[in-house]
Amino acid sequence: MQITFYGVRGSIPSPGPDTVRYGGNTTCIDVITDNGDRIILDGGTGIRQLGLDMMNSLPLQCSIFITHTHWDHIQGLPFFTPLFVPGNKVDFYGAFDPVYMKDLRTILAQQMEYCYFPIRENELKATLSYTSLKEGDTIQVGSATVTSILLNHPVLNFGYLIEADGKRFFFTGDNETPLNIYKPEDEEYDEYQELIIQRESHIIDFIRGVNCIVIDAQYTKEEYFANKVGWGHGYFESSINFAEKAEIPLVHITHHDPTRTDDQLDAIFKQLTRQGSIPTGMQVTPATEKVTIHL
Amino acid sequence: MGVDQDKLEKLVDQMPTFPQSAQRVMEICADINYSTPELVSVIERDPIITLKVLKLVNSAYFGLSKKITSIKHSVVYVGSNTIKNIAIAITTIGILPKVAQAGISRTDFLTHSLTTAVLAKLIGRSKGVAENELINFYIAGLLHDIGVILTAQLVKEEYKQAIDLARSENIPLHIAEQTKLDFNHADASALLVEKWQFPPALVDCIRNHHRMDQLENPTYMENSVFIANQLSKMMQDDAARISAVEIIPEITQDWLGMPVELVIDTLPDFEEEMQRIKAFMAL
Repeated sequence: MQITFYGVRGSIPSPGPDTVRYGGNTTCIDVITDNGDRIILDGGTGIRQLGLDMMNSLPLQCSIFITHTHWDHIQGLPFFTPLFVPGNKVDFYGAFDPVYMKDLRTILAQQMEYCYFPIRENELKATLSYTSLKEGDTIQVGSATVTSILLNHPVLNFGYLIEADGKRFFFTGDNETPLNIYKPEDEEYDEYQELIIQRESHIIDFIRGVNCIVIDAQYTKEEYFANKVGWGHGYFESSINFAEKAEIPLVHITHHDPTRTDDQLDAIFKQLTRQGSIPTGMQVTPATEKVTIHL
Repeated sequence: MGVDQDKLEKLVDQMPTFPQSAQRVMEICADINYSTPELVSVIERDPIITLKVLKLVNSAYFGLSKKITSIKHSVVYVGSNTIKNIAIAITTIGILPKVAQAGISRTDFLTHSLTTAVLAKLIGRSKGVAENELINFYIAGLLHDIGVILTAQLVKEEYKQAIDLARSENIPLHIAEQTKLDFNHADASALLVEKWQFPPALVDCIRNHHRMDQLENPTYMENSVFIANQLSKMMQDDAARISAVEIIPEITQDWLGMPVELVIDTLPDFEEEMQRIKAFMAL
C-alpha cells in the first residue's frame, strides 16, 4: 500500500513561504493498493494537484471517501479534473447529515451551485455515484476494504480504516478526544467518564495495531486548553497518546493549523522529543505534502 | 354566543407555562458559549425532548453502530454541537399543540404553522434581517394561529360554525370568528405568547396579523409573517384551507416589492427547509 499526502493543512489553505516545506493545501490523501486500486481520502484543495497527476492514464476509476463535509475537506472537489472527463468513474462515500437532513450528493452538489461555481454537478462528465455510509459499513474497493467509524467533531466525522495487501492504515479525519463535561466534584462526573472510556475503548479496539495512522492534531496543548476545547481537534500530546494506546508504530500528525509556520512545526516536534512525549519505538512525524509512505 | 373574555383568560391561565425546557434550549442555542452540562440537564429534564433526541440519534439518519441510551451517551458519541442543533429543531416543533378540536385537522394545522414559520424566516432573511433576530420571525410564524386551537377548545360548537362559515363563504377565518363569536384568534394567540413572556415585538406581530390594514408602519416581522401566512394558505389545497387568502395592504405590498406569487421563487432554501422540518416532525 502506498499513501501520499496531497493536503495536510487544517481549516483553510495557507500557501506562502512560511508553509512551503510541509505544504499549504487542505486535506487530501491518496492511497493506492499493490493492485493499483485507488482510494482518495477527502477532497480538500490538495485534490486539485492529485487530479492533475492522475490524468496521464485515462479512463480512470477511483473511490473518494469524505470524512466529513466541512469546507477544508471538500473545497478542492470542483477542481478535481477527472470529474470533467467522460469515461472516468468516481464513487463518493460519506455520512448523511442528520442535522440538516442532507445526503452527501446534496451537500457536494450545493458547493457547485451556480453562485459558487460555473459548472453544476449534473454537468460533470464522469460517471459518478454517491453512497451514504452508516458507521461500521465496509466497502470493497478492488483488493481493499474501507470501514468507517464515527469519531468526535462538530458534524458527523468518519475515520476510515483501509485494509489491503495484509496491511492496515487508519485516517481519523478531524477528531478531538472527548473531555468530561463535568467537574470531578459533580455527581455526574463518574457516569460521564465511564461513557468516555467505553467510547474510547471501542475506537482503540477498532484500530489497534494498524501499521500506520494519520491523525489530527491541530493545536499545541497550551493552545488547546487556552480556548480550543470543543472545537473538534486534537493537540499533539493527546493524539500521540491515543496512538500509543492503540499500539501504532507509525504516526503522521496532520491538520496543521493555518497559522503554523514550518519553523514552528519543527520547533514543536523538537520540543516533543526533548520532553519525552514521543514513546520509544513509535515514529511520529508531521504529515508533509507530496511525501509517500510505503507499507 | 361570543367568546367570554374572562373564560378565555382563565383558559390561558390554565395552559401550561411555556415549557421552560424549550425556552432554555432556545436561550442556550443562541449563546455561542453555552454550557454543555446545562444543555444536557435541560434536555434530560424534559422526557419528550429526550425521547425524540434519542429516537433521531438511533435512527438510520445517523446510522450509528451502537444503541445510544441516554443524552449524556449521545453527547459523548455525536458531540454536543450536533445534539444542540437537533434539540432546537425538535423543541420548536414541540411547542405546537398535540390535539385539535372543532373539526380542525391537526396535521393541516401543523403544516400551515410550520410553513408560515419557515417562510417568515426566509422572507425576513431576504430583507436583510440579522440571523439572531430571525428566530423571532420563525416563532411568530409558528404560533400566529395557536389561538385557533385555544378558542376551539373553549367554545367547540360555535367555533365549528365559524369554520363552516369561513369555508362556505370563502372568507378569512378571523372575519367569520368576528361574526359568530365577536372575537378573533389573533388576540387569543397574543394572550398566550404574552403569558409565555415572548418579546413585545413578537406579541404585537401575532396580535396584528389580521389587522395589517390598520397599521401605519408595520414592522419587518409583521410584514414577513403576514405575507408568509398568505403564501402558506395559497399552498394549501381547498380541503385543508379553513381561511381564505387575504388582500395584501398597499404598504406591505410596497415593502415586499414584488407580486406575492413570485416570492417562493426568490427563496431557494424553502423546499429544503420544509423537507428537513417534515423529517423532524415525523419523529
